[in-house]
Parts: sequence; structure tokens; C-alpha cells
Amino acid sequence: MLKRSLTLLLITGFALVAMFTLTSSNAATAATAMAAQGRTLDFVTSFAGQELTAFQKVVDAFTQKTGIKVNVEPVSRNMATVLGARVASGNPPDLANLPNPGLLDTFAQAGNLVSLDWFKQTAVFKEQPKAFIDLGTLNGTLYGIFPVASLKSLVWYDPKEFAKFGYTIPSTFGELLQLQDQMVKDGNTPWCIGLESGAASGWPGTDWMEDFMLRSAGPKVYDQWVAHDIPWTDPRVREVFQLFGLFANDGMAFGGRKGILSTNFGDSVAGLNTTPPECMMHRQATFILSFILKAHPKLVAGKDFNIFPFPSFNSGPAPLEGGGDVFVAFKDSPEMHQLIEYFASVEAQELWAKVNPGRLAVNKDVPASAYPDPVTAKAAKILSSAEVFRFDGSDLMPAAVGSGSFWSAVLDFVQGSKPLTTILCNLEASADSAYKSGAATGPVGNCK
Amino acid sequence: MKHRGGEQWLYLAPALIIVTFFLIYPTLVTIYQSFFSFSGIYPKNFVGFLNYNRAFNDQSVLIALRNNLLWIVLMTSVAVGFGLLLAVLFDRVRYEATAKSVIFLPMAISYTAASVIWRFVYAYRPPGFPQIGLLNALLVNMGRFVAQPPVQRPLQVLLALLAAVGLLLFLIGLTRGSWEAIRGWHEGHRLDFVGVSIVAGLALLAAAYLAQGIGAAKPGSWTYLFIPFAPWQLLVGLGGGLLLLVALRDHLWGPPLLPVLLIALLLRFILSQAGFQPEAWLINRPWANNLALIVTGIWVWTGFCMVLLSAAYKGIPRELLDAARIDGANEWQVFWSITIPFMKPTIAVVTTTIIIFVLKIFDIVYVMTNGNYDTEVIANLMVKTMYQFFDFGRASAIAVILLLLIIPFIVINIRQLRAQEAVR
Repeated sequence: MLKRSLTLLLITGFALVAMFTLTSSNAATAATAMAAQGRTLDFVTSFAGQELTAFQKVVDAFTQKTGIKVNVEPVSRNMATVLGARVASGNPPDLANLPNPGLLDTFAQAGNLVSLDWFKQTAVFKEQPKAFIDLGTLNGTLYGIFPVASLKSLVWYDPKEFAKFGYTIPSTFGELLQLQDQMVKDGNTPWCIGLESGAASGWPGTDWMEDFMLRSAGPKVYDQWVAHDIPWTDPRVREVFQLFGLFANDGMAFGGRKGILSTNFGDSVAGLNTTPPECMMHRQATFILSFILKAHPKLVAGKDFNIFPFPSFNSGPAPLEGGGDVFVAFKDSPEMHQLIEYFASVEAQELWAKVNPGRLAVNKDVPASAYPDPVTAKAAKILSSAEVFRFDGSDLMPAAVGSGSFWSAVLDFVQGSKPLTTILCNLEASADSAYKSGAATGPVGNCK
Repeated sequence: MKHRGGEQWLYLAPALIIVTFFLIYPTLVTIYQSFFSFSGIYPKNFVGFLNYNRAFNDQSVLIALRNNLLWIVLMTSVAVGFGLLLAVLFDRVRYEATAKSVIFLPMAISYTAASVIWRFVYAYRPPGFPQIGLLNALLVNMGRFVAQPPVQRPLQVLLALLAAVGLLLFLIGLTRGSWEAIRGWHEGHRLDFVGVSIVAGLALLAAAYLAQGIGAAKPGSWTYLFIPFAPWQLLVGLGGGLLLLVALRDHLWGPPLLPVLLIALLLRFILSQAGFQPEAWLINRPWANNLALIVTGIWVWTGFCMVLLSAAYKGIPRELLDAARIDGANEWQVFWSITIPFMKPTIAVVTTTIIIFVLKIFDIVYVMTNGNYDTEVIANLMVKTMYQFFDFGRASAIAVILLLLIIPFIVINIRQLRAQEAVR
């Protein structure tokens, strides 16, 4: 009895010692590799939770491949403040991801960022869509790359219904207007629009208007509008509201104006697949896929619902609106080059798309098999063929406008409770006090 | 009594320290901050009275002030009025404790939960689709009932009439005792709560049905409440009113019947507004949505008023009431000349308490509309400016304005409390 337990103890002890030796020898090898590479990269990131886990997995794969260690440093709050403080104290990280290109401009103009022009000579450069290279470029110098992004300018529809009525996917804005008129003629309701979102009610409308601005006035005016270089009372802004009125209106959207205002954004998409369908189309970002499946769990992506890009005014590829993180470098080193190149590669992005569903790879060559379903794969394809890509403008505006008066202006406009001129004048007044810069700040004509 | 050197401060110190750190210091910082332009990132810029200047020129602040006034007037008067009515009436009811608990129950629910509940009550779906909101579902179904043309469906009408008469007879038989009790109300009999409810409910239905008329519904206008009475409806109304007056004078059926008629009138108004179409209650500005929010507040607060006022009512010496009755005073006279004067201090405290709560109203608006469609109130605007717009200076200025508005009511409240204690 005693003997047996002694043997057991011995065996266990031996196993433990063996395990320990094995692990320590592994660690030793890694340490040697690290010494050979010489440098640990410091990466400050705003990713958190599930996104951080996914990002860490992508980075781990890099370390495994190259032996270069990357110290991922999550910053849960206000990237701008933290990075600003570190740059000012002479202790910037090697790399960071910035939540929007506005911050890239700020840091690049201050001379804090390292030029990534060398990236244009690499093999992976050809796999990057021009729109995203443009977005990471300031005054002809490349400062940032976009590995993954999200996409907003999408129209969701039920292919079965389209086939039943013989509708074709519109490739221009004019065709879209014709299509919705045809739908009305057939007794269908073209759109499901839901603007209710609790304390954030109105935001889905701002996405519509941003898409219109990109199409009717172009990306240059879009940037001016976001930066408040043109006032809200500008006729081009007015046109954007009027265009939205062609869609968010009685007869055009399910439930009319009241229905639009009282339907939750997440519930409204369910109308595509009810029997009979409440509407034919729904304009929303990629994330709405999970809402569709929540409302109708048995639906099959691609068969029961699909997407097409919100068409452009001419027949060219549609300008796209979305979001994403731009990766920038504060310190130059060969290891940083390797990491940037890695993030831009098919390998990294394919892994990323797999571990973080919903994120679309920007690289054109990432295969469709990286995505869980054909609809997401299609969204990625639309994204990577972008010629113009812009960030959600309301997210870039000061919160008092972009998450305040713009939202309520959308609601007021859809309700029709105030004349458009009043709505725009109120918006301009709030922008006037919220923007610290912008050429349009100051007294404006037409308003009292 | 003589205090030895500063000993009282020793006892006061803990409370004083807590109040200083958690109340006085933040208040002073808020006042200080209201003179700066500050977005959470330094530097702070001194801007003088700019934040106040902006506050009073800002459309949303003006709307918020208007709405707070509306809240004060409507919610205070209705919550205190209902509370008083219920406190006095329930005192005569057999199931007093149960009835009071039911009315008090909303007070036990958090405002956020109450707001979520009422959001469902007001929920809107487009016409022709199943309504998930209680109010719209009632409305649409009632519309279906009224819209059935009686001439075209004689059999159905006949059956419905027979059923109604049968039910009425049954209920009268069931509540015969209660009926007597209602008639004997002025003689100090206790009312039968269930009986009163059943009779009131039936009267309500009948009144609503009659008042609506058939096929007369025309939605959307305020004046509809008064104008499109057909002559025969006017006659019936006048005759009914005359009969009611007689009844009131002779038998004092007033208390149970008056609210019933008021509710019927209100119902008719709501129906006429909506025309049996589902309505987006939380969106129709500026009255429907603000009223919808205020009703939620009333639902929550009536119980609180009732409990406090009920306690005060029970504190009135019974001999006084009995003496007045023996001297020949009727119930109204007793109510106005004895009950009300005795309860005055409590009513004042309850009223000022409600006013203070109403000035600070936040949860209901935040959850149900977030101030959209002209339903903004000061507290919600303050939170929005602070945590959504990160404009600390303006948020502080709004907070100071709110504080200044509340202080007078706090002073009145404390004075009344002292007066009340002095009476005891």
C-alpha cells in the first residue's frame, strides 16, 4: 500500500520535472530568437474585448512566424489623449491603430508619424485598394494602412422577392429611383427604415445622408462638410436632406413617416422576410446580418437575403461609407516594416476575418472562403473594389452635432414638423458653437 | 440649555464632513466650472457668462424650460389631486389596504422600468398591422367595434344588446348591496369597492359609446371635442346633465359618477384625436408626446401622494367630522371646511416635494424619447450636454440654472415641514 503510493509519487514527480525542463527549454529557444531579432515592438491599440482577443491572435501568428515580439498595449479610453501625452513626453509607441483618419492628419501634421512610402515598393501594395491608400495619405506621403474595415453603404433585399417581381439590381441612382417607383406600382413598399434607437435615435438617417453627400456632391465636399468648411445652410447640404425625403416618406417606406420614426433600427430589417414582406429593401451596414438572423433564424444568407452597394449617381463603382482603424507608425525600424507588411497581407487579414466575424478584409486577394457566409464575402468584395471610401461623417463631427443636433434634425425632418430651412439653421447654430475650427464658422445668411 | 465650548460641533462633524465633500464641494465646483469652456481636455478657457448667455438663447433650453413648466403644472396637480381623492375615498372602502397597495405599487418599480413599461403601452405599429402597444391595440379594437354599421348587421346588434342587458341584470343582482351602499354614501356607510368599480366600469363603457356617436369619428382636430355633436346628442347630453345635477343634489352620487363622466369625456377626446387609427403617442408633438410622458410620471407618483395624504386624513379627529355632520353639513361642506384645512400642511409638503422631483425629472424622458420631438427637460439636457457632447461648461451652467429653480421650493418645503411639526 505504502509502496504503491510512493511509486505513484515518484512517477508524478518525474513527470513534473520533465514538463518543467521541456517548457524552460522552449522559453530559452524563444529568447534566443528574440535576441536575434533584437527588438520588441510596442503597439498601442484601442481594441477591446472580443476585438482585442482577435487582434492578439493575429499578432501572435506574426510572432510565431518571425520571432518578433509585439507588446500589445490596450488603451480603453481616448486614444488621442494617451498617444498625445506619450508623443509629448518623447515615449511614443512603435505603432498604433487610430480610430479615424482625422487623428492621422493631426499626428502627421505635427510630424509625429513615420512615412510609410517604402510600403509602395512591397509586393502586397498591389493588393491594396486605392481608396484606402488615399485615405492613409496626407500631402502625397503614405502614413497609414487599413487592414480591416466595416461597410455601411449596402442595400439588403430578398432575392426571392426580386425574382418574383422581376426586379433587377440597380447600378445607378436613377435606376434605384425607377425601381422604387416600379415597386410602388406593383403594390409593394420599397423600403424598411427604422430610425428609433433609444437615446441615439436618428443615427441611421445620418448614414443615409452621408451616402447621398458622397454621391451628389462628391468626396471633396463631403470632407468640407464634415470639417464644417461649408455651412449646414449650404444648398448642397439642403439637397442631401431633400434626397433623403425621397426615401423616408409616406408611401415609400413601411409605416410612413410615423412608422419610420417609431420603428427600432434593428427591428425594421425584419420586414424584408416577413410573409408577405413589409418592404423590398433595407439600407444598413454589414452588422445588420446578425439582426436578420435573430428575427428569422432559419434564413440562409445569399438565398433568403443578399446585398448590393447603394448605387452611385453615374454608372461607376459606388463611393462607400464605413469605418475602420488606420495603422500608423511612430518609430522607424525593420521590425515595424515587417509588421506593417504582415497586416496588409492576405495571410493576416484572412486570419483576422476568421477570428473576428464582421470585420472585412481590405486586401483584394483575401479569398471568399475566409468569411462565414457568401453575403459577408460579397460585402468584402464590394469593400476591396472601392474607389472612394469615406468614414462615417457624423462620427467625425463634434459630438454636439454628430451625435446630437444632426440626429434630432433627421427626426424633425422625417416628421415634417419644421420647415427644412429652420432645421438647417438650428443645425448651423449648434455647429457654430461646437466646432473649434472650420471655415464656415461664423454668422450665416438666411438664418435670423 | 447652555452648550459647552464647541461640543455640538463634535456631534455634527461626521454629517458636516460628508455634506461638505459630497454636496457643497461638488456644487461649488459646478458653479466654478459653469464659467469655463471645457471639454474634458485641458486647457480650460474662462468665458464669463457665455454659457449662461447661450443657455437662454438656445432653442433646446427654452423648450426644456417650457416642458418643465408643463410637467410641474400637470403632474403636480393631477398626482396630488388624484392622491387626495383616493386617500379620502379609500378610507371608506372595504378593501382599503389592497386597493392602496395596488395604487402604490408603481412606486416600488424603478422609473426606468416604469418608463420601459409605458413605452410598450404607447408602442406604435403602422395601421393594418397587429398592434403591440396596449393603447393602440385598445384603440384599434374599439374602432373595429364602433365601425360595425349597426343597420347592416341587425342580428349581431340584437345579440349584443341581449347579452349586455343580461350582463347588466346579473351585475345589478350581484351588487345590489353595493348599490344601496352607494346611495347611502352620505350617511357614512362604507363603500363597496368592487361594486363601485363594476358599476363605474359599466357606466364608463356606456358613456364612451354614447359620447362617441356612430360614424362621427373624424380625426385630428382639437375643436372636435365640442363641435360635431349632433343635435340629438346635444339634447341627450343636456338632459343627462340636468338629471345628474338633480341626482348630485339629492343623493350625492357625485363622487362616484363625476370621475366616470370625466374619464368618458377624456376617452372621447382621445378617440376623436386618433380617429381609431393607431397613433405614435411618443412622437406626435408637442402635446400628445409630452402628455404621454407626464401620464407615466403621474402613474408612478400618485401612490406616493396617496399614502402621505391618507396618513394625514387619518390624523383628523373623527369627532370633528361627526360633529359637523350632526350639525347638518353635507359631505362636500365637511370636505372643504374641515378635511382640507386640516390636511393643508401635508398637502403643501407633498406638493412641493412633487415639484422638486418634477423639476429634476430625467429617467422617464431619457428612456422614452431622450428629449426628441420637443420633449426635452432640463435634467436630460444637462446629462446629454455633459456625457454625450462632453461640454462640461454648458452642462454646469444648465445644472446651476436647475439648482436655482429648485431652491425656492426646497425652502418652502422645509418651512412647511417645520410648520407641520409645530402643529403636532
